[in-house]
Amino acid sequence: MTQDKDHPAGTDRELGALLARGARPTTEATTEVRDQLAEMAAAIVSTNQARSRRRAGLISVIVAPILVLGVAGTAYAVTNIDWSQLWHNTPEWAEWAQDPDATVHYALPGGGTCELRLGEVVYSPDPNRPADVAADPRAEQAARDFLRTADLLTVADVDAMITAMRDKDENWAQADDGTAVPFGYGTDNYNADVEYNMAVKQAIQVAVTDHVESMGIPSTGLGFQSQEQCTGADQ
Amino acid sequence: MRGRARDGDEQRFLDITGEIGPELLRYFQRRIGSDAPDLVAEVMVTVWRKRALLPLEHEHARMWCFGIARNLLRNYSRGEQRRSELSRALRATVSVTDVELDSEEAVAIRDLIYQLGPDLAEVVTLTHWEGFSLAEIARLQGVPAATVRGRYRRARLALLAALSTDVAPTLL
Repeated sequence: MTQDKDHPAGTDRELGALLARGARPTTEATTEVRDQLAEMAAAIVSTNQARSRRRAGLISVIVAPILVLGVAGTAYAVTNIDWSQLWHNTPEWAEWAQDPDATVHYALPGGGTCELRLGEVVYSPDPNRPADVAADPRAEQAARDFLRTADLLTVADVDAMITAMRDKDENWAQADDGTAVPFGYGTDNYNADVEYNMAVKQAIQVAVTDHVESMGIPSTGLGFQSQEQCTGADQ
Repeated sequence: MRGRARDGDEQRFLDITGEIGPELLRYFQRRIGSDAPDLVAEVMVTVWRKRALLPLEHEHARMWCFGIARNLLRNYSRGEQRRSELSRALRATVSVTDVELDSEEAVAIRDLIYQLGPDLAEVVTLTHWEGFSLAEIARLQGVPAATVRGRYRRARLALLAALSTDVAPTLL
């Protein structure tokens, strides 16, 4: 194929002229438009940095999202973790999960498959939070709308979450003697299916939070439930 | 895993979004009109969130951002609440500078394009509205270049055939 054939816009002028008349009007890239786009990007960076500082400083006083790993406090043997306890598989979906806001399906690294349902969005900020931590009840509807309309596995960055989880392993199980035993990447207890499953849920949580905050609404006090059923997981 | 400094990622994010921001705005405006600034904001948020995966090579980074835009567009539904604070100023500018008057001919042409189906329609619009090469479109659609060339040929034939019918707009 010649270069021209790879760029038909330059040669197929008849069709190009027709299609140009079908496009909606566009905005010229004026200095004002460029400046506003640059400000948008800068705001995203600064919002993210402010949120990181807020999360780091106030973790103990802000109501945490309900979607949690579900591992703390569960008893495991140190050398032979019974992963079936982690998958939380029950024959029935919870009542809220029978009418979820979102349902996603994904494959595990070991070949198993999961159906994850999300819903029961709540807005419940800590009334005793510091005065400078803003909360907004619109967060609930914004999160619910996002769950209902977004392609969650497209917007959730599972790979980046796995990278982050490996950088800072906060996954642990409780040994018989009560000590905390890490089971993340690089440990003897590493389980790729477990890691991936947790990463999916955390990445979705981050995507929801980012979406709400990108609308100018603080995510303080926002929470939602999740329940998954997996088959073929490495247990 | 790449080990770039965080500040480097931030600068690359600002560079790439500054460069392709106007292109993204036009990409969404041509297809969805007034919600375009909000979709641009969503692309930027997603690019920022995934910045660790932003390709190092410039053209690949540009196409990667358009891939995100394409995915968001596929999930776009008109009427959904998308009024982001991030895009408020741009929305105001766009609404002042652009008058969204669609002629009957423009609507008819878009109908023709939509009738091609999503894959063929995307090939001809990315070609003639954005000026992408067929090889670039192949990367975006995740198919071999030969498939895109075939899609372009079929789309072209279908559009030109439709123009010969009574209901289609005529070429001036």
